[in-house]
Amino acid sequence: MAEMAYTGAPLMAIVLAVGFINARLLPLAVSLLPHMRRPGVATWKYYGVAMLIAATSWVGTMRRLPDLRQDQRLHYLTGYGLALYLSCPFATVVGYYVAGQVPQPITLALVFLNPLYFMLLFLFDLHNAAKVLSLAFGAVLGPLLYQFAPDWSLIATGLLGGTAAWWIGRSSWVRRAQHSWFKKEAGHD
Amino acid sequence: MIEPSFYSPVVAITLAGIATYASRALGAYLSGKVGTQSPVIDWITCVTYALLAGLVVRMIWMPIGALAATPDWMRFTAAGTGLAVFALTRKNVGLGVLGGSLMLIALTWQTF
Repeated sequence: MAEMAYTGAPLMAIVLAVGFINARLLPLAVSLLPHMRRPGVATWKYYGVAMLIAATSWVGTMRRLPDLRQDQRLHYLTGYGLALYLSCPFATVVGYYVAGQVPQPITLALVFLNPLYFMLLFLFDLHNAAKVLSLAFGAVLGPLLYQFAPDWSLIATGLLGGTAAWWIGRSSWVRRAQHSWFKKEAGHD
Repeated sequence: MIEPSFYSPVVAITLAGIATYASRALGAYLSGKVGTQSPVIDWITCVTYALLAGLVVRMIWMPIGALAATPDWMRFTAAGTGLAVFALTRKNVGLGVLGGSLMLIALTWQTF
């Protein structure tokens, strides 16, 4: 966005580009919010907390859902999302000044924290076959589709990989395999 | 068409912010139409997992910014180390992140 503004792109083009790029946030909100909906909670609260949904807060909250009661989930996402949002400008300022002061390897490691943390959050719980397949398909399709259509690759990756994984996960043999695997694991404990 | 000189950065950032929120607000609206038991939610959750997995692989394999200067094998080794530590410490995310970062520092120490 900053680059477009700098090069003098029309305002409308900038706003449209930002809107389309962030279309990838739509499935995040649709898939996360139903888990926290309760009767008696004002609708505006869901719209408010939707502002805090981003990649990291989505994965982090999805991971904790099974441990949280229905009435705790909205609070969890609010706290987690706000902590990420509020620490972000602070970390940006610190990073800006630290970047020139510390050895380059430290800077690189700090930049690498984000994808690393993000990756491990995903791998925390791999009990669901459809989820594992989604992650695998996405990991392959993401870089592949980026070669052909950089702007649309993420949405396309999600739609193609996710739909395929969901479809396969619904089939009866996957359900049977997952079921027997669960029983085996329960037997170990 | 508005000429670039007529809009201030504040207007551009405000409108872009609204555009960013629009897809989330639409998501919040649509999420009210489906329940957690609906297969539609399973499907959208799968779509999101695939989308974010694609994003995280791209962040490691094809990074932008400072990391782009590092060779692929260094980032792969660091990510692999993080994974190994994570697996060996009963899924401790903090230790996994620490292990992977320390490996990247060790690998880049001589050359960067």
